[in-house]
Amino acid sequence: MIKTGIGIGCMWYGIGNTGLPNPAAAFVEVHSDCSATLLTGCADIGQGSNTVLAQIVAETLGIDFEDVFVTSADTGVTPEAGATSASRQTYISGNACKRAAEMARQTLVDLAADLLQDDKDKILLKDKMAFVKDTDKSISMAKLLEECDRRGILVIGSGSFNPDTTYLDAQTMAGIPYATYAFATHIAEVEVNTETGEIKVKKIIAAHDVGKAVNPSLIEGQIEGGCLMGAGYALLEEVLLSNGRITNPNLSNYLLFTAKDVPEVYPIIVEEKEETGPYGAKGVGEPSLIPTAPAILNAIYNATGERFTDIPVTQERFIEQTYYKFDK
Amino acid sequence: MQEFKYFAPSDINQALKILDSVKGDKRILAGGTDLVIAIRERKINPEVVIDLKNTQNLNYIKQENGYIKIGSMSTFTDVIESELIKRKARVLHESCYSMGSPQIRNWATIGGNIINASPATDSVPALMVLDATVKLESVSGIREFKVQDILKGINKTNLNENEILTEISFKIPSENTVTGFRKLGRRAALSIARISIACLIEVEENTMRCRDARIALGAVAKNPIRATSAEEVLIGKDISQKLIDDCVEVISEIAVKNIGNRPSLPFKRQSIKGISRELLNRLYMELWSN
Repeated sequence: MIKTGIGIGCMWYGIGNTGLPNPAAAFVEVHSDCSATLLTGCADIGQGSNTVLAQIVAETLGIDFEDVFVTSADTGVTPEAGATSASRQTYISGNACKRAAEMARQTLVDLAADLLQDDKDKILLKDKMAFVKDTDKSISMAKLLEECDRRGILVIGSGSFNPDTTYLDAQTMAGIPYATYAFATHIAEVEVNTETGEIKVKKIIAAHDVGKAVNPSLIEGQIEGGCLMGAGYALLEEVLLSNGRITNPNLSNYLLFTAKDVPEVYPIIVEEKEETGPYGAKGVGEPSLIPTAPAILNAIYNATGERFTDIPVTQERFIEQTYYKFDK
Repeated sequence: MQEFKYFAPSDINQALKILDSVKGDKRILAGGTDLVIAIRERKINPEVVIDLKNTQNLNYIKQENGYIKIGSMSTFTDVIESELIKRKARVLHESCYSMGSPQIRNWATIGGNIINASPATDSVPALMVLDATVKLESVSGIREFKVQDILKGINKTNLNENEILTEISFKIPSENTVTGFRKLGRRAALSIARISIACLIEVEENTMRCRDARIALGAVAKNPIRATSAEEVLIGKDISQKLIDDCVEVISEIAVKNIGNRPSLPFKRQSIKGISRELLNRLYMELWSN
């Protein structure tokens, strides 16, 4: 018999390494054609950090995103940024890149104030122009950079950021493990075939507090991928060991969800500004798959009355618990 | 991977001659989706591989004198895209469609799937309920068997060293017949059958009286088996919900008897009821609507 159910899973998750310093740094240089070079140690492993960090630098300098050239994760030339892990790069390298861009920006602002004969505090950089707030005074970035060339000024910046954490007390584990936290809720709808143990995840609605969505498309991609991974984690993926060796080390026997197993995923981006994040942003990478399995297990309970505390809930586990629990 | 001699003959007669004349451990390469993996994993170490990919005359699906004939080099994709199979032998369409992924179905052949003799083969249970015959050719002549009679255990067949399976054929089921396939895999695609069932039910014209029933189970024994005592539950009676429930219980008993005392037994004992009930109910509904 096919039974359907709905379940909810919620989570909070610390951004960055736990109770440890984990700084990142970045270098920025603005060129006379209004382009910029960004050097960051942050490894883009497909999540899109090169894009997000370039967006942050472009926003800070008032130049076009397309004109920010990123060199990343090259130990020969890029500064330390720590690992692409712990959902930390948008938050930590994002801040480092923002600070590096701000230092370069200050050079441009100082020069603009000089040329426009106004207060530095009133200078805005936007759309490759420098404006004086509340006046019609302005000068193009190209002109500013031409003047830099003439005066021998290099428009460069460096920046670093280390989240405000403390080591944890060895006995009590008290301390400040993370500078900020991500929050999320997933709602899953499942169909359970109670005779065969087949469980189909039909839909996942996934709401994530990301602080500020620097790149909404990338965040939706992260959430969709996370939901798929979380659903496989709940129902299928399992590392099998024999005498300490993994017996299913290949994708032919360590099974992942295929395109045919994918549920409908509805990502919802919640923007609750994080004051310490770059433009209010924080991480979403790992949070995207954390509430999925609890939501699915709750949905199975809602559908069938069977409460599972082990994952994955394979067809066997479902059948054995449902039909044979008194045999044990 | 150890070196081997490789032949790619352009027609079946040439292939049969080569197969008959070469010495050593020789293997036929059809689609290669099982053979190449076995070589790669060093489960087999052939000295000669004869690739049938260039044999133009072994890839066909045709209707002839009330029979459907399928060349052994037809791929799973060829089978599932055949309107003839879809209309006249839905069970074979469904079983072939459930196998692997589009990429694997583009390569894997129906002949190779039979000869590989996997316990979890998808095509063989379907061919068994269609009462299919296979044609084995060699330089010395032709032999014909029912498909299940050439299977002799896991990855074992009774083919002679110089024989190639060239054709699968079966009588087209009557208009009063419904057929179907259901398998249980670990996921929706790219999964090997944990258990499977193929079924054919023929009724007397304009009644629900069962004239003939054939049920085959996959992945419960070394090769797929016919569930004859479950078929007997249906034959000669009016198909009803009650009869289906009785039949499902017998199918489960047959599975239990064949599986033996394995860790998967409790799971399979139960889940085979699920897939059997679902399939038989579906065929029952189809008979009603016909």
